[in-house]
Amino acid sequence: MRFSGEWIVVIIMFIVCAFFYALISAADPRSTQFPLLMLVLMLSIGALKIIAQILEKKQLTNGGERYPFFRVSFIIAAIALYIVAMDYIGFYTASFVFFLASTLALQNVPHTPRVIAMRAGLGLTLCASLYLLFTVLLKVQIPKGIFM
Amino acid sequence: MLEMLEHFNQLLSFGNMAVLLLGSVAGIFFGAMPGLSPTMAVALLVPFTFYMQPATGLILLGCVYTSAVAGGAISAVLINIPGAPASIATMLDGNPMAKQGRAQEALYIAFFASLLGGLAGVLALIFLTPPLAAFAMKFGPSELFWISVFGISIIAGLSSGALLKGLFGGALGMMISTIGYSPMFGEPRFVFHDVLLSGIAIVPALIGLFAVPQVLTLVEELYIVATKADYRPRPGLIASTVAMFLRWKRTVTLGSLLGITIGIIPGAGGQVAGLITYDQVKKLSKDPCSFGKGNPEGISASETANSATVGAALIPLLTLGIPGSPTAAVLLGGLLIHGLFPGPDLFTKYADVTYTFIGGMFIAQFIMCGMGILFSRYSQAVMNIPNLIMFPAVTILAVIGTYCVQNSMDDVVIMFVLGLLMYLGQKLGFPSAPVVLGIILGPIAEENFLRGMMIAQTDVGAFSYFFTGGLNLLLIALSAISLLWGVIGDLQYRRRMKYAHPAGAAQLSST
Amino acid sequence: MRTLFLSIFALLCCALFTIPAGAADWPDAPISLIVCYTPGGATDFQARIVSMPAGGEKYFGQPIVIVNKPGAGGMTGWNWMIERGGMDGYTMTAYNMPHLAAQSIVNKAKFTVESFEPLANWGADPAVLIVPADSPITSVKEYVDYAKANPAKLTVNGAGLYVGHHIAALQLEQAAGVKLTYIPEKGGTDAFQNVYAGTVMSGFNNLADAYRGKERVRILAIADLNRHEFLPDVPTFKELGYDIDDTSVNYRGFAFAKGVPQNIIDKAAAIVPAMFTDPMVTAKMKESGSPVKVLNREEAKKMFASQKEKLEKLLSKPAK
Repeated sequence: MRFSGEWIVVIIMFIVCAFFYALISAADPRSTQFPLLMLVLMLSIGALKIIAQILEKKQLTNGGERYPFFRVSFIIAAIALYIVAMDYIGFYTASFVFFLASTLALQNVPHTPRVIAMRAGLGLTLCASLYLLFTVLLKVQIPKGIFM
Repeated sequence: MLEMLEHFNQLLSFGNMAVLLLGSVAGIFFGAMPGLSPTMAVALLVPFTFYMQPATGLILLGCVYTSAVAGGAISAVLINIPGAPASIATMLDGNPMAKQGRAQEALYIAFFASLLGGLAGVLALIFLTPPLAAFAMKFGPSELFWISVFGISIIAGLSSGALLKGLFGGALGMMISTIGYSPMFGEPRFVFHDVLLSGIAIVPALIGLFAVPQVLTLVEELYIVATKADYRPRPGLIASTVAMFLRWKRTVTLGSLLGITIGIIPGAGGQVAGLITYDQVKKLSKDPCSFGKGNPEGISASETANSATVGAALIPLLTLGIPGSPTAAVLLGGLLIHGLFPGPDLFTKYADVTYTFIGGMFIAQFIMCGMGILFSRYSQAVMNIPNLIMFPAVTILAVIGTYCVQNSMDDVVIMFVLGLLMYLGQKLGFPSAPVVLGIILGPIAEENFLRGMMIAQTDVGAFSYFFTGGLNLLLIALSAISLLWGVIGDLQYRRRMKYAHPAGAAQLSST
Repeated sequence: MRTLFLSIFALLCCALFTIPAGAADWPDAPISLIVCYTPGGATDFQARIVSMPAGGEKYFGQPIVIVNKPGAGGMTGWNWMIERGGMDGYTMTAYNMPHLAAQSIVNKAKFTVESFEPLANWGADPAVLIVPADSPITSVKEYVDYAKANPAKLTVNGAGLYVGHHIAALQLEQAAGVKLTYIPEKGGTDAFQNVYAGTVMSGFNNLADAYRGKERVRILAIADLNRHEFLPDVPTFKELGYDIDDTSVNYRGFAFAKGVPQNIIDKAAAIVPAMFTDPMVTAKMKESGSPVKVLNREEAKKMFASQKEKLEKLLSKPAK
């Protein structure tokens, strides 16, 4: 039984179980029956996992390329910002800005005006198509902000 | 049957034909966009039918339904995001095929399978409606509960190589499905933030669990430039597709039968028919390990089944007014708006509308297949779009698709948060499909269990209610076999991986 | 740096597309109607029918766009209305009495009956008691006798918790002095299906659904003050000696959230009932088997108040 990444999985499993257990608060016992059953299932699977880990021979870890942590975190933050901004500046505006900003920020070719203009054009086309489809044709409500 | 032929010339009117074509194109387009499910597509088009003739309006809705279900394969294959829960299984083998440069082939198979399954469903609607409708009514809470258990049992089979993580994911999915107000007793559960008040809806969860990790994976692999596959249409593909299907008679039959059975039963979660069939076909195949890596038979299994549910869902709808699927429920609204009450009247007083509609559904299958194949000819080109452009475009589509379901920003937030958690989960080896299955089947299992208990306590008692009755026992047996087979399959899979690919065994570091 | 400038520039360009907001003449943009149930359901398609003529010049001159916000029996949508729906007069909702009142009394909802300003009422769908067509029970008297002989063993279902059907069942329990077992279902059609299939022994369901399926079930009585024209042979509970009034009747109509300017409310309150009595609406409602009862704003407000009072009395008694 050596330390391998799999023990993290076990820990996560139990954290998830604890999380849900702490939140069970419904007054009517019948409402908690099913969640409790699921909790029991998850705990059992967690226990089985511990057993499986103990029985497992040591695994070779996969050496991979360096994980692009900053890039992924940046995009996660960008998406979060996009979702929040939508309510304020409107869906289409936010989408356009998101598209432009994220592609320009992450690309590995030089930021010439030509490239920027092409990207902006692409973003505009995308947003315009969505606009035609959703707002004009289907009259679906979209998050509206001060713009659109 | 003969009555249908009488109405055929009505069917061929200009208006109806136009609607058939437009509806199919619109449907495929909707189905292909991640987040726009068939239910939404039909719901968005109902207002358009107000000013049409009843038969024309219904044909439009039916056509869109058929094509949207089939169109979900497009996003599943090309961008690894299922357009609807029904397309999850299509994605499992379709996307690997697309990555291998076989996108066009994969989509041809998908649409052809949809044609066959869809025809099966419509033929059942035409010929077998009375007995099947009666059969559907035999499914009460206890039977529905065991069906959901059966659906859950295939989680084991879907998680080859990561059995415990898959099972955990399934249980977690069912747990997540309880967030919100309990449907039976109206009590808030796990609502630790207002955003969770209305619970976790299926489509936002689906998009979150598949699209967000996919987007982040694209970001990870941003600079990996795949060799650009040739996107020109391949000659002779149609012929070879037909040839493949002649070999897959068993798969197509199984898919049609399962699709019809599950589609007919109201409230049985017809969306999972594709997954269930995929699982069964994988178990029965000689080479289960090849599923998930680009085995075209997997696509045919999934698409046949989920297209068969379309015709089948209409059976209880037209005869009893009870929709067999959520999309059929929207169709019910469409029927009622035109003054067409489901029941025997539909086939007598309003026979011309009904038979024109059913005839339209029949033709719609062919048009859907034809349109789909046309669209797929250059589909490989989508695979050549650089990740840099793909990931924000998919994000934007995912956001608007999620928002449109219930017009709720909360859903978008839920989608994103679930997606982030799933991304981390995937890094640890947790597969996404079991979680979605749990979210879909959890409510069905819980509600029917509780409802069954309430009824049983006034009647024969819990044990007898759930464990007696031919249908119950059959379903229990199927679930047990399925679960067992899944576990055995996982053990076999791991054994094979160890002996056949020692390097692969190193990657198989998870249970 | 360039990216930043370009983004700002793009933003400004988009400002060109801004729809001018806040005009003096209401309405000058489409109005959203929040329907708190799933598309295809009774409230949804009836709302669609009654809002069809809205774009006409003699009505709003602007279309009414249905926005579905389902969840928690309607609470999700109404909570949203109160919290985040705009007060500028462009967001209406379709209300359901007694759901609205019952939920605000029993659950911790963010709204009360007073949070809404009713504009007009379009429909009144009473609850009817149905049993499977082959059930041994053929009259309400036999029903009550059976219930008395078998306390808590008679199953009766309805489209959910604290919806009109549930209220009707509670009232029957009180009026006849019996104990029933109420089974909440997911919706009207589900409930109807389970009665038809014999899964439960009886059910309260919408008049509309029962009328459309009257060959498939047996309708015993109607929970209203008078018989209904769709089912002239079905007696009311009152006739049969059980004191059940119209508390459980499912009233539906349009409402604003409180806080919308009074002149907009008044203007809408004049237009909406006219729209509801438009001949095309009346015809289509009849075609689809949906009972119509148009009340104007004053009548609707009175109905709100009286229903709320009755429900508070009913639901404060210790019930299931």
